[in-house]
Amino acid sequence: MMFLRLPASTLMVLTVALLAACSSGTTRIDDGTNPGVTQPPPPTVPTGPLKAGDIMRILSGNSFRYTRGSRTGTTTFGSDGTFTYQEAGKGEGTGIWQASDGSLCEAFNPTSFLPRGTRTECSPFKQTEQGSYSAGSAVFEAM
Amino acid sequence: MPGPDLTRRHFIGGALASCVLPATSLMSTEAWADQDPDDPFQLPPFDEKKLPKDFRRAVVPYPTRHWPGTVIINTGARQLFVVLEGQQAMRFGCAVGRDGFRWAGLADVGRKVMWPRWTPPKDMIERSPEKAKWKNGMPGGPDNPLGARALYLFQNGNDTLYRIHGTTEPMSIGKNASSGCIRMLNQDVIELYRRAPVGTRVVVMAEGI
Repeated sequence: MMFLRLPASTLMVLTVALLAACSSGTTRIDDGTNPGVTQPPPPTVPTGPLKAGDIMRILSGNSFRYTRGSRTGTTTFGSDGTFTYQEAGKGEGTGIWQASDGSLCEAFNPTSFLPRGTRTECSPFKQTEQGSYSAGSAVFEAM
Repeated sequence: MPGPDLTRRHFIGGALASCVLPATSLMSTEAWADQDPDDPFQLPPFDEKKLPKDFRRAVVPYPTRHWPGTVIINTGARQLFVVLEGQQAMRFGCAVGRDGFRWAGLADVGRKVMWPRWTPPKDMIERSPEKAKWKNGMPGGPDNPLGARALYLFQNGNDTLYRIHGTTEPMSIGKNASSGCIRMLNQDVIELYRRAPVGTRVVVMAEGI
């Protein structure tokens, strides 16, 4: 049945692609000593939403320190779509994750300190300027 | 000890039953076995043996770390699994989105409806103007394309507009045939409806997108 509308993430990708087409190219820096020489731009974080495959490559099989508001801990994203975590002062738990273009979806399974688990929450997934990653209120730093 | 009191009424009743039962058995027994007694509509009969074996309901080995009860849709294989205890799953065939209509992600079952009403979205009416007659909704029933049951998929507490639902086109199971929804045989979606409470996690795998 038809229930699909063009997803916002797709529109964002298309928009970013159009913008990127207008702004691509290296930054020309003229320092006056060697006119005409093009220097590469400083490394920057990727702009625009990451593709699902990029997010999977970043997370799958890897462990991170995380902060979620005042909560901190460590987490490992399994390649099977599950994750485990150990939350400081609370204990350990599990959940499921899935990447889609531009976003990370997570749901926490019930555990003693989270008796009902959580519903599925999907948040924009981005790389921060510090080289870590953010998804909603969560920040992931590679271990 | 008195024997059974056979009367003319018993005899006629038995004779009628002997005529009726063979006729019923010509229909798919699977379909009738899956029918709820209080279901307001009878399921159109369908013999699932018409489908390739991989798309028929079966309990299969399924090593996974997902919790029992999780629904996992393998888009590439057009199969839906309900994770069971003991590294097993109940497998069902399904139809998934056509090229350009498939999706992947996590969702929760946010709502469940028997014989759901169907309202084609505007863009579907634009593509298929003949559906405009249902712009205010088509009542649930055997002719409704959502079939016998629908499980509404939610993310972040909001309706994604994707559903897992039954069908009026059972031979589309196992194909990339839908506009993004997950389509199942009516008798299978009834079984899923029983097994998946509101809040059930649904994983739509990215393979085959």
